[in-house]
Amino acid sequence: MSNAISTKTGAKAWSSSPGLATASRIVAAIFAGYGLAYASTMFLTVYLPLVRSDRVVFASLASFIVYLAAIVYTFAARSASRAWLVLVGLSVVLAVAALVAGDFGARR
Amino acid sequence: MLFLAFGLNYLGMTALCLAMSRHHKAVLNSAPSSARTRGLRVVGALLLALAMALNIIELTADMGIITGLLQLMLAGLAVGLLMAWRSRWVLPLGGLLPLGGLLALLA
Amino acid sequence: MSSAESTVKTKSLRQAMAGLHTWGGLLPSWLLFVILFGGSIACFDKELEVWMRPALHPVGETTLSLDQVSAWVQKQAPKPPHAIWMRPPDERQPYWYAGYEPQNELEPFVSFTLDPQTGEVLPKTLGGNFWFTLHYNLFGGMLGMYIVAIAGMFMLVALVSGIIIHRRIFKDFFTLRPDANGQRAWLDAHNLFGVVGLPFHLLIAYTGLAIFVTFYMPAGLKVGYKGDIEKMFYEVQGQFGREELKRKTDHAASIDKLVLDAKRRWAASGEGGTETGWISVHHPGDKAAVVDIRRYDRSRVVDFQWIMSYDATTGAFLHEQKPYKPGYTAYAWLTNVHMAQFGGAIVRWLYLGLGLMGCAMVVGGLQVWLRKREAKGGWGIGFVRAMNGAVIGGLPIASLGLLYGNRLIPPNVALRDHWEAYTFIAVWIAVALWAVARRNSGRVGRDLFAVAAVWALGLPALDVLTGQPGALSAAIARGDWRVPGIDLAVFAAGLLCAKMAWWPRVATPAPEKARSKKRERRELVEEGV
Repeated sequence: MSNAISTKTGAKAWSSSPGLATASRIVAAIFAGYGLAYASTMFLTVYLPLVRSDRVVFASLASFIVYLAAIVYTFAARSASRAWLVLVGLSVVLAVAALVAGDFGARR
Repeated sequence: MLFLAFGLNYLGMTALCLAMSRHHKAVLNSAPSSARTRGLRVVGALLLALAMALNIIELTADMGIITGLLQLMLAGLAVGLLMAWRSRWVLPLGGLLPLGGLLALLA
Repeated sequence: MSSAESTVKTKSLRQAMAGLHTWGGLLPSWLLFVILFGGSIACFDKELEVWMRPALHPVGETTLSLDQVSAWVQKQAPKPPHAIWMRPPDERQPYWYAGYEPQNELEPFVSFTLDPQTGEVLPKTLGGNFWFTLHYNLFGGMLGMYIVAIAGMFMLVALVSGIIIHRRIFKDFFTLRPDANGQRAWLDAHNLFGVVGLPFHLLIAYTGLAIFVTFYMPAGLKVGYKGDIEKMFYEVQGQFGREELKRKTDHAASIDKLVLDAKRRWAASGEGGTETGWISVHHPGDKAAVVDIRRYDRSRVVDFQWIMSYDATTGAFLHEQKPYKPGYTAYAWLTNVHMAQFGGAIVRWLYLGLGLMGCAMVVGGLQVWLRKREAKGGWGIGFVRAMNGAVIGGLPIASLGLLYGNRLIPPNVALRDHWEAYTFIAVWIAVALWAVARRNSGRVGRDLFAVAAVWALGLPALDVLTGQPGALSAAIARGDWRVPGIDLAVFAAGLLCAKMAWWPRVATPAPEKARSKKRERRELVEEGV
């Protein structure tokens, strides 16, 4: 695959091997991608402007699209480490936002 | 009415197909003029819209949109396959299918 | 951004997506073929069930009451079951379908098929449900459901990456050049089946995932309902339920009378009809037992079941399901669009056609992978050839084998359905061994087409010889094409297989037009890495 250019600029030792970089992307797509889908579902379940039962349904139905977008993004990203950063970063932000609101009882 | 709708979907897809230079050459042995290309596209789009309308009239918008889309895709496949192996049948079928649908509707 | 820079970017995006499409598509392709083929055939599950029960009277009138069936099912359960489920005969399903759900959630649903006139248990068969189960869990229970979901997710990824790498989606919409070189011709075919059917492929993969969304994505349940699934179902579906009291009672209200009451209530709205769907009794025999009567409305995609719940002991009306909220309406629309139970036979035929188009897309993709590597050499050619023969040839032939087994195994054999399964498995293994052993002979395709042709062309004869005398002509005279339709459709498929096996089209390569090397190279990017 075509990450020869990006690995040079990225200067990450572990991603200097294209095989390892691809493996890293695959793991990111499957697991970090699912993590993002999970976090987005948590977030939307809390913040969608609907009644609770509708929030849960629409948030869950959207999760597959988030997962799909995350997987495609992981392989389109400039480097594997960048994909990891974006997926994990976004997941943490969304999950924290959902948990904070839940714990303070902002939405039920 | 659904048979007629499929016939119109097929005819509309045929028109859109013939609006492409390569397929026009394959069926009619000449490249289409730009006016003809535009005309075929408009006619094709109108036929597809009419076919969708028939589906909706027959089955209500709720189900008609789904069956209309499914018919559209199968009609496109039929045109594609016929263009590959039996390109001489493409035009006659464009007349026969809607006609058969019309007869089935009247019968 | 300069235009040169953006060209480099789109080029590398396309190459990254080509890698994703090639390998992310190859890996699940045989599994996807099984799922797509099983689902396509399952469009006609009830018709096949009737085909596989030749002793059945074709008209679904019944002399049995719900009370009789419910009492009978309860007696079959060794321990008091969690619930019993019943579906009275109707036009498409001319037999009683009933069973019980054991207390232990891990034990499977135990079902029975009863003769609508005599109430006798009909000879066991895997029936039309076979392809349905294969489609949604590969006979692997919960684990199988997750495997199917993963394959569905791969399918979505392959579809989206395929759209990104296809640079001439509209220009090549109708293009199929069978006379081009093998790889080009198969790429055309793969594109035609994929692009023309794209809305269907996307929708069917997505809605398939949506059906069991609560299993695949439990985050909403965890956050929204703190994991309380009963509460979620109650709130989302507006469905009634209550806990078992563990106090036995012998008294039971007549379910048949409750159905009349439910029909009266449904009829008051004036729309959607009063046909009943599934009828269930939860905690049968307990003081807190509940009868749920569901409506079956096939006149629209979102069928509001309008469940009427009654106290099973006193017959008192407990609850009616509230109209679906937007969320559940959306969910019901998606699941029903997937399951194609609305609109009648025409919808089933359309789904069958497009489902098989999905199968053809998978096969086309596999052929592109093979042809490219056969031309240039590469790793895994023998493996992919063997798998193609074993799975793409194996499943349809084994399915035919199951139909033959169904008719040729005598009706009174013990564990008849098991013998059917052995037939299916044995045929599949035989085909697979043949395909593996002869994978590099270049003849496996034609050999398997020949086998499929013989079996498919023989199916109508098998039906006539092993069915009830005159049943087929009587059905045609009645205008009931369901069973003859299966024979005819399989026969037509047999003709096609015969053509491919004995009179394959000899490719006459069209004179290659002189093309610049540059253009050739650009096209090859789409053809995968």
